Amino acid sequence: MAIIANPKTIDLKDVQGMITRGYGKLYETAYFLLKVEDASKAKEWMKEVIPLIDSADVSDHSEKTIHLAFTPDGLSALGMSKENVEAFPVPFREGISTPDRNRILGDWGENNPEKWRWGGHQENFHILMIFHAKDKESIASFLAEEKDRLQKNGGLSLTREMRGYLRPDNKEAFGFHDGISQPVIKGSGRPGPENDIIQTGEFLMGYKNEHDQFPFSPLLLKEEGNTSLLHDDAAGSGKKDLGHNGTFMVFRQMQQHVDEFWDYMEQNSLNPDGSPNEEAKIKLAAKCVGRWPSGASLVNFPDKDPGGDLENDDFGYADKDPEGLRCPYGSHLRRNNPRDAFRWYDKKQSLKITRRHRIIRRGRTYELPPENGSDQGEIGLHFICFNANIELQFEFIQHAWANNNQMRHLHNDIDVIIGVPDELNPKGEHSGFTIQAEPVNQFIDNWKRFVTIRGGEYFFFPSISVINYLTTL
Amino acid sequence: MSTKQNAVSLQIPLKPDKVAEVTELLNTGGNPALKQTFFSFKKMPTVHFARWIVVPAGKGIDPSLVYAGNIDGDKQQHLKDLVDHLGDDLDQIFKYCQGYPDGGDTDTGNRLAFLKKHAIPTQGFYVGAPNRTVQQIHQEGELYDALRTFVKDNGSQWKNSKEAYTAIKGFVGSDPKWDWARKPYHTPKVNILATAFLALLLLVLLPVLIIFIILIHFFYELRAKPFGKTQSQIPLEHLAALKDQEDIIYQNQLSQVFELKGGLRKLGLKFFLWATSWGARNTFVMGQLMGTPTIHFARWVIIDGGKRFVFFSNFDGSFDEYLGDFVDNNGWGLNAIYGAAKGYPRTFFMFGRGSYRIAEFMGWGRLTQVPTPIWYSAYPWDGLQQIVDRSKLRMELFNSGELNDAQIKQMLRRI
Repeated sequence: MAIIANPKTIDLKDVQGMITRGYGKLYETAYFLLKVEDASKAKEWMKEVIPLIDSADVSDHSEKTIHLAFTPDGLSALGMSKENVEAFPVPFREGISTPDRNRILGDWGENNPEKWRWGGHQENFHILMIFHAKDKESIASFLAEEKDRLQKNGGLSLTREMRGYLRPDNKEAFGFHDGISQPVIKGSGRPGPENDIIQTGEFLMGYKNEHDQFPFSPLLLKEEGNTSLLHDDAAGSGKKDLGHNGTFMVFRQMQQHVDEFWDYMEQNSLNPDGSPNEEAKIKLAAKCVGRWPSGASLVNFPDKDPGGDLENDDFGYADKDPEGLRCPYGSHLRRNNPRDAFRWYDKKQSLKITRRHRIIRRGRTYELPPENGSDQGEIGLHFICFNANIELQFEFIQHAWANNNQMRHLHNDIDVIIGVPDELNPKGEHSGFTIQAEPVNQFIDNWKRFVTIRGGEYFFFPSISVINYLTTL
Repeated sequence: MSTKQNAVSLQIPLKPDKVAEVTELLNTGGNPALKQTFFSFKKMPTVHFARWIVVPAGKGIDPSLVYAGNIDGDKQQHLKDLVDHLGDDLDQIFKYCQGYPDGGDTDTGNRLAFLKKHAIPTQGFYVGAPNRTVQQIHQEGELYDALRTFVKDNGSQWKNSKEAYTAIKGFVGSDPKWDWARKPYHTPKVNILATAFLALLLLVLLPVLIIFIILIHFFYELRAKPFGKTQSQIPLEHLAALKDQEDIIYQNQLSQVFELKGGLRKLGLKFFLWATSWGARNTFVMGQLMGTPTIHFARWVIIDGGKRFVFFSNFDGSFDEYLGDFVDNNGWGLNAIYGAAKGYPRTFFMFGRGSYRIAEFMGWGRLTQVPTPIWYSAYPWDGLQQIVDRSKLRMELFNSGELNDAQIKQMLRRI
């Protein structure tokens, strides 16, 4: 796939940096959930921290940076009128946990939001503050400074603090190189593989998306605050646009059951005499994921992990693997981004459709100390993604692709990593995984939950000018 | 042997003051009807999908009940079956309807006569897996499960596809369990002659169609009054009542009620529904309707003496996925049909724009959608493509003679 130029057309100075950047050199992360106690003080605090927000412009790159995201209650708490909060899309207004969304996302049983640590209406918070810094020392001093600032200001309370990190080898907790395939926003100035350069409006409101339409964006219905800070609606309604250069953020805390995962892989790949087979175990896990632990693609390296640190994303399925013999149809990778081979459609139609359902992922690993007498701590992923339309991007991928037990020609398979069967499906607990093979397919039965959702919420991730605007309400 | 699936449509006027009561009664039937106590369709083994909806009152139109059954075999027989199996339940519903004899006169004959009186024609009908009975779909599911277990347990012993084929043939062997599969059967093939006829007809009609489209543009499109709302701009209660019934089983349903534009638009609708049905019967018989592969059944019915029409569909996946699938594959076809519905996103020369404004299109979809208090599926956990694939597997193993190498490989890939 050719790497093509992608001329800059977006005002990147107005876009929060995390949308275009993974901060691969800033290894440490922290998240504060803040509650507004005093709106005018909180706005003073926002004015102080706005200069610490990195924009998406390359010249604007700090060693430590923050980003801000908001819940609907947060917008209200800062003084936004009901009319204007109700101008936002329904999924954001309702939040990640409603009965229908729980079904769509598979948030039942162990994933039931009633059991979550945070989010899904478990606790009330308004602002998510995200920190990036290069190492443990710098994040510690950064957080201390910012806690100090919060305390002095007195307008906000810190309801929850979470920490995360990026491993230098970019591996997630199961041991696989993660975050390799990312869409590139058209107009961001960053060149990229042709098929990964996606219309701006899939990730930023105020621009056309892959349907050649402006995505739904919250337009100002009631005049309030300093509206000269706001862009006009690009779709031409004459209204001011609160969404312009902003997007929506999905945050899900995913506990990973690493031992169970590898145990399952081992048990399902034993030698005929019942002894473990290390090579077969890794191959099975790779088939489930769709990449080797190094990140190498199964399409390019079907038999063995070439090793090293291979950010190999230069592949499609249509030419080299139409039958799924290398990378199974049901693998995590192929399900969640079918690339140029969706259903039996030709490459053009497949790409047209998959390009309409992409997300930018910014997940990082977290670890928690042991509790309740257990000798092992918790490890997992703070999954974060950005999308302009939560329903057609994040929720679509989770429901139509990851949780769909009958995707393509599969009869009862779900995504081994993040899939959850329908709660009422009598065959749900027998969901499995099919490895397309010759002469006949191989089957792994009896799905286990290797990921448990422990928290999450939907956030509005506004432009920098809209964050400024919020301080004028 | 093959049996055609048929569409039964009924519209029965309600007593205007009984809408709330009948809705409450129907809600006890359930959507999805997994554990029905009221109006249990499970008693009727010929029903694939069925629903009852309440069509609200319109301008000068009384509220009514609409019933839709997707069934095996004869339509008159289905009405008789309804009376035989669910007569008492019918009575409970009918007492809220106009013109049903009150009191002791509700015998079997009366019920049947009442149903027959309110039967209405179905103008557009699509079947995703044509010529398959409910029983066959269940049997082919059992066959698939048995084959999968056999392959899982024995697959590692087979060196090549020939060996696998021989072993599988031996497994199904002469087991009387699969006698039903040995009966001669084939799924319908594309009727090339009928497809060519439709194409030719459209070609011949092209000059008329062009004039028609121009007239539609100036007399309808420029004057259209689209709702112009996205899903995020319609009342949350309306949305919640619909979502409450969705994504519970593998399939979903959609019931929409539209006000029909008059004149040329109505004429156009009738023509396009006729063409869709013709295409569905003769061309789109392999499990997809113009590229959309998730529809089990769909129908369009003109109701209220031509003032409104309804669309009912049974499909896999969510509302957003379903509508998105149509827009991805054939948004122009949606425009030709639903351009006749009031409030539809403004079309451009009949086929352009409209549904391609996807956010507005989905908002229109939700605004015209009504709840489906009773909705039944005979196979709630089966995807359409899986049903189609299992029939092919059965035919390859039982109805095809010896397979060649390529056919063997294809057959093995299905398991």
